[in-house]
Amino acid sequence: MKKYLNLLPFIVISILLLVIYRAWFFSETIVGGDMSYMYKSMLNDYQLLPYAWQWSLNGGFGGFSGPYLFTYFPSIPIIVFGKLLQLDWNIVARLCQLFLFIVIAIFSTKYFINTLFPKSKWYLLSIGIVLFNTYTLMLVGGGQTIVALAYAFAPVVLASFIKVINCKDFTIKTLKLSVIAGLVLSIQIMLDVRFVYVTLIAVGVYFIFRAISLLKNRQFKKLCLSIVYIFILPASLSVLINAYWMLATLLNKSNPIEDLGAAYSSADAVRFLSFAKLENTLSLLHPNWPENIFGKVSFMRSEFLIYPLLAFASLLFVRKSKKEEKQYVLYFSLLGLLGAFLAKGANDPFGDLYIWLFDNVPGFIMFRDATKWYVLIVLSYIVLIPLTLSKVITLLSDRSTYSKFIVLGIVLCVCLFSIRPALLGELRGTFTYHTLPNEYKQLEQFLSQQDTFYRTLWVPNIQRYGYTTSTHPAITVENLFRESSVEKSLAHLTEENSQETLQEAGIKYIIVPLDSEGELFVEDRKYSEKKYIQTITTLEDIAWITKVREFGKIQVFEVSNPKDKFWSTNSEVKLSYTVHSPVKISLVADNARKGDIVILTDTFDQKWIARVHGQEIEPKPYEKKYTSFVLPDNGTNSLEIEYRAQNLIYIGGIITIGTLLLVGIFLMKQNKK
Amino acid sequence: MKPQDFIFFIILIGLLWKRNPLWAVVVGLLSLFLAAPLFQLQVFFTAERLLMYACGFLLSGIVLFILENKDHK
Repeated sequence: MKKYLNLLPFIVISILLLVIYRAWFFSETIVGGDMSYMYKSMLNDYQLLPYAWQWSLNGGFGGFSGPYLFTYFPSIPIIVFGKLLQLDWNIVARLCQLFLFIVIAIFSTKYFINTLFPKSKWYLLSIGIVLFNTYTLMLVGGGQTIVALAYAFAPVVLASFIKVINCKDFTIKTLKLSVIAGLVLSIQIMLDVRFVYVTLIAVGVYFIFRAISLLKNRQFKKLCLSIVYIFILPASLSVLINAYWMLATLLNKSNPIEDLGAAYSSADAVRFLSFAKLENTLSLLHPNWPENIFGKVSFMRSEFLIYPLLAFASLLFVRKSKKEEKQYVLYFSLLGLLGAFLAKGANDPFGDLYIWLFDNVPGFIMFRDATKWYVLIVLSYIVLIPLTLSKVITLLSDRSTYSKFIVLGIVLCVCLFSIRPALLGELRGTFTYHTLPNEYKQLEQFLSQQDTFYRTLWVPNIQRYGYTTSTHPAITVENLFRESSVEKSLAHLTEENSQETLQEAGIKYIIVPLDSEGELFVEDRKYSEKKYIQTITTLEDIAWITKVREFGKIQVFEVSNPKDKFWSTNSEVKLSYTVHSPVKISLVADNARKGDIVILTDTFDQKWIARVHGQEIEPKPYEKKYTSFVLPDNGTNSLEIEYRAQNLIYIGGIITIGTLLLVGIFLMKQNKK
Repeated sequence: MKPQDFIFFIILIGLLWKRNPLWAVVVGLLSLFLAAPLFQLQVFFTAERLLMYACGFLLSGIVLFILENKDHK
């Protein structure tokens, strides 16, 4: 009987996993939120190596990818399973993102709890809190799976650093722990830098506990060594391991947040995006629960107050706890309150303090969306809630055998009641069953079979089953006309010079998608057939485009004479080119005159360079948008066009590989001892 | 400042003067507990206020526990 009772928690967690995440197991197609569908042609478009130029940036017009190249690491499994093994997206998404998240969340949490309490049997409850809390469900339901991997890694990163901080002496064992902490930190950096910042705040708070003790005992040498082993060594290791993208980013002084504009870096954006209030954050209740619609915030649900009640009730048992357990309770209680305070963003109380932090503290600019700080609350509650329950159960066991089951049963019922939308299948995004519409399969076949380069313009937006590759980048009207709304962008299409704008952008097709998910033609958050028809009518009235294909409700209009990837202002010049890689292109221009201009229909970037007979030609902007080169000779010009920043990627890559080898050798030698 | 805020500060000062962290934690948990029916009845202003006070009491309790630890050492 006892054996079956011991298995009961595993069974409960497994059943809940299958019920709540059932769409991940049984849905035909995996899409939802930020997660779009990838056809085999799109999976084949992945590059084996990291490149400094990424075609999909700047709305499909390409850009310097340095600050975003940390995404190369999580794309490696997709390259292996999707490109090399040619598996279908529904298998690739499950293996490389969804199930990987579940596995990492489970083992990361178990490792974390076992680090703090080696004999604890309550890690399953912690795993349940991580997998089934509303923040997690909204994150993964919203298709932010790579971000979710970084979030799932947070417990193991914090545990690794706690191990280093807890070392009383600085021996080779401490060095090994410090190296491991650096290694796991570097993995988290490769997933999402923002969660690294949040996790390091948690590390910093724990370190303060230790630092106060060292300062009080005047152990200044130990304090300095602590800083080296806890921060300097792991941080240095992380930087070296991430050198393949950090070197190019730092030397090119690229700040992706400022490049995105005021919407990402202004205090007004923070105020606007502060949807969570203190009651949400303290209760581990995501403000958009359960519908996960941007901006739609529900009333506070009082049943969620069970979580902070259970968590902070652990403070009642502090006096009777051992020293280490006492320290953990105080630390994680403080962490939970800190997380609750930060995650509410600019809301009361003291919301202006968050704005001050955003404007003045380095790195805080990454948190215009304050919900990332929920991670601190999760890290706190996965320790405190099981601790409280174990103390209560121990107290009750002395009085009655069945009372502990009654208490656990009541707690479980209230918790399950709080997440009932998840149990009842009411969640959206990746938790909904999807089927790839046939219309999109037909559209993909139609577009992918054409070998020549062109862009497709999606009106109003690229649908999640939309097709886009480096040869056929998909762009939106908002990106093309740099407007803030679809209506203003559509108005541009009817202007006199818009035909030339689209031709120069290399746009061959304008596509009005089938809004199978009810996300694009929306009025009052509901699908509007009227908006769909209005869009079609607007396009049909444009004289210089022709409707060429229909795939059900997908309408495809053709733009006449779009420019190729390369074109010249002199129409007599004949161009042919070979794309060796995203950063290296060979171009031959025949019948040219000296001074003729060749335009590359990608975003202007000074880092491109063209070489002809050893002579270097610097790029010039064409119409302030595209990159152009002036041909130096009459007749035939053979240009080798390269993106100079790529050299930094190669140098950084050598540093990354070298560091990983050294770390690997060191850890193997230590394990042998 | 609302009248409830004055009551909160009086209780907080009392708890800090008493230097008993357990009382601060109990008052904090009580505030959390009392907020639940208020949220259910949609008495949001008072409920939100109670949660802010709960955080204040819990934070005081944590700080008092930390100071208590140091005194015992």
